[in-house]
Amino acid sequence: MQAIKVLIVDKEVEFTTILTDRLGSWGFAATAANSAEEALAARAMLAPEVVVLVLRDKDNRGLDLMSVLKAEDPAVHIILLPCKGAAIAGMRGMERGADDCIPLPLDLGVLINSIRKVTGSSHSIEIEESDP
Amino acid sequence: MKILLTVQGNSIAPRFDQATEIIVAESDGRQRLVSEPRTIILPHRSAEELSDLIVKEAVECVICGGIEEGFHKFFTWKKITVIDGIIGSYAEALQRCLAGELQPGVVLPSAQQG
Repeated sequence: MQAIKVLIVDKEVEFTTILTDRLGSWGFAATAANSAEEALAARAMLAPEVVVLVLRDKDNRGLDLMSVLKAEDPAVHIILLPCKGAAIAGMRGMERGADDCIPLPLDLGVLINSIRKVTGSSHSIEIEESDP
Repeated sequence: MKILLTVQGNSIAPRFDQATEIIVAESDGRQRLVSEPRTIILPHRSAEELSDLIVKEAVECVICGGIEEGFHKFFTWKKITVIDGIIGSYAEALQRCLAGELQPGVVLPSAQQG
């Protein structure tokens, strides 16, 4: 079965690196983008099923990017991750058509369940991690 | 008992204030986990926000590498056990903690293998 393609968008390289690595270990085909330009290029090249978009500001830059991504591919699922202080932006995002909104800090299990839910995926994901 | 480990890759993070990934595990007090450990990723490095999370999550034991004295004292005051100075894989640290065999300042065999 083909892995679900997930694009993670955030300016913080450390955050996207950890999340890409962890989602990869859960069987997702995860890719990171650390700017709006990178996100648009990755969307065009990879056609992800899900975009995980971190909202770090109170302003609407993240939501503007979401609108562009949705305009380019109306079928793409958007999961917003608002930081502390960006909860209102998260709510606005839901009004504009985001599929889910999960406040940071991020519980990885909650994000995985959300990705499965928005993509209608019920297949089991091969676990490569060796948690005790 | 709720146990929190600061993580970097597969190891315990060398510094508490630099950790952006944590594992939260819950034991039944008899050396067994009651559920799959949770992975939590922080949006950025912040010892203050990590400290808030530890209190909000009602963590009872923190396993970490180096930690500032102020945070160590705060957790002790909050009756949270701190097992610091741990070097090695988080999986091994957790197993040893569950077995009641993890002491502060231990270099685990997994660190020596690396």
